[in-house]
Amino acid sequence: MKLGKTDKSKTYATDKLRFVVVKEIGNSKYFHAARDYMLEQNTRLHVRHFKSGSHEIRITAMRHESTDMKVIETFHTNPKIYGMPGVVTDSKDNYDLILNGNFVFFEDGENGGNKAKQVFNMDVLHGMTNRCYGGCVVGKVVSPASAPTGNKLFQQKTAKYLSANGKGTFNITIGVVPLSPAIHQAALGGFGSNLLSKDGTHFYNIHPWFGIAEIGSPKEHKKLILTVTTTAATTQYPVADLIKRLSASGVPPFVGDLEPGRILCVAGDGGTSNATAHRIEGDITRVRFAGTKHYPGHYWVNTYVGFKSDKPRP
Amino acid sequence: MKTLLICIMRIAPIIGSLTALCVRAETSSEFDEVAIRTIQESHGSSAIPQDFLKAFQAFESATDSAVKASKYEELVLIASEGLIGAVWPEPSGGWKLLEWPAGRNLTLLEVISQQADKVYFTKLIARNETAAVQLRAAQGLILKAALEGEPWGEKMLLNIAQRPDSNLKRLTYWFAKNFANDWNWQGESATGAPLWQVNWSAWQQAYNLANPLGKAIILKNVTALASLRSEYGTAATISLSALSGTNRELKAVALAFGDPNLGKAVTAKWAEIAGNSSDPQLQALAREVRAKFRIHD
Repeated sequence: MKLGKTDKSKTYATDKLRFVVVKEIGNSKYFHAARDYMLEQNTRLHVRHFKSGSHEIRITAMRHESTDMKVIETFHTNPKIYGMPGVVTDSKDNYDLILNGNFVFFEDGENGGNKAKQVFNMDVLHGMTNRCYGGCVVGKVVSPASAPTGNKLFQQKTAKYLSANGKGTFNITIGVVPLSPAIHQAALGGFGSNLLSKDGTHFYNIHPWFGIAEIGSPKEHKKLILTVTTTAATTQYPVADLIKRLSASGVPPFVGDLEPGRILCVAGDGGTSNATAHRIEGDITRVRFAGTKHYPGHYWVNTYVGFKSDKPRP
Repeated sequence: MKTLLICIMRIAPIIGSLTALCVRAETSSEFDEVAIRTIQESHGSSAIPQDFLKAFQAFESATDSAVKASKYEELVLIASEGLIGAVWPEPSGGWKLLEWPAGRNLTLLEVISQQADKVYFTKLIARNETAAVQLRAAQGLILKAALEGEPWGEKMLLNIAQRPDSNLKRLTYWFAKNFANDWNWQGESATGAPLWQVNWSAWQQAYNLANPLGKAIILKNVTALASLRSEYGTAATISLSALSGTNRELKAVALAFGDPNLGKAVTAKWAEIAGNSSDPQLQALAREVRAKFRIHD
């Protein structure tokens, strides 16, 4: 690139500009490019869709330092909030990205409880789940939905939890959400990092995945919050390949995880619990996909995770 | 040297927003939905009905999948509190797999949910809120059986599909879809055990023997199961059979529950239907499914 007279008779300065074309997740510069996109376009969110065969996923990225996370619990609130469309309406455009949360259940049916009553309330009466595996902290208050102890793997010390205490504090931690006392403004537990089963096939499919990518040199180190979600009810994206790609793009190993090879990315509840709402800059946050547990005709789930991010410039 | 990262991503978010879809359209209801929820919540706060409890225990204690399927059917009938056993007034023009609107085309989403929404939100069968609660109770259990995708659910679904038409069979067509979509809903297990082996020959045989209503039940469920297992052979044969047949409604259902992974023969049929202007309704659906999967000539 040259800077000089228009008739090219004189050059004042020259510089070289290197273009790096980033097309796919798996490129080492993917999250650099996502960050660059947000800075250039002054957006809170970067959203990109990828396909494998007919199966499509959505990967979002947000600048870690400018983003806060909140937990939205919909049963122990008055009135109850039904489904992702209800959450979006109730949140009054306060979030840029909302996903369904952790694994949830109806309390009477668990741990040797009354399974018949669980089925009756959830499937016959189309009720809403009222508990979740792991802790649930909303506004530094422990939600009655919390079920941090029990015999599910989600409730063991190997489970993972999401937490935040304001912008730039989003974290994924091994263990059970601290509840006595609650130390986080927002926390949700019971997430799994075993994205691949022991036979190497997928375990969680594309449940909502929450992760952190790290980019830049040690001096210019930056983090991005990422999510991976489905765009259709039957999405079966090749998980092993995706994990490799996320890793190559800057999602680090999960330090401290007992199982080697796991990345800093965890999965919540999937299948028909899947739901995603997000903003396209300039528009309000809208529901992009929601499974049957977010509409009349099935039971309803009760935990969601909302992200609010600042635009790079006012 | 400055480094400028140029993203091909620039327009991708816009494209994404256009192709995203929800699984169900919002539909207005003829019922007082608040009253329905009030009834449901009052049931939930009282003791579980004894007949339901007994049937559930019988279902839980059974180990043979055929027996479990039979017990689960009993559970569905009990939950409906007689509504399934009642005589349902036949709508004018008879029961339909699909209704083709005049003056406009159907969308794929409408093919998936049109008849289910009609039953769920209108007074076609349930004439008041109490009956709507009964209908929805049976509906929720039917949906659960499909989504959880256990061997007993497979037996039940295929068995019902091959029977003569009945209220239970209609209910299954309306509400059972995407078989095994929630199969791992119980989450983490220590073993990460794979899904049970699917009896694909039973699916094929049931499809061959079923009448159009039964075939439609199978079409609404087989693709999701094939997708979950990445075993597309039987599902492809079934889909191709519907797409090559003469029943327009079955063709529509096969298009709405289609997947390019079913193979080139299936996607070639989509192209053929998309190019056939003699049936504009099907043509529009075929074009929509091709656009959905970004298939271009």
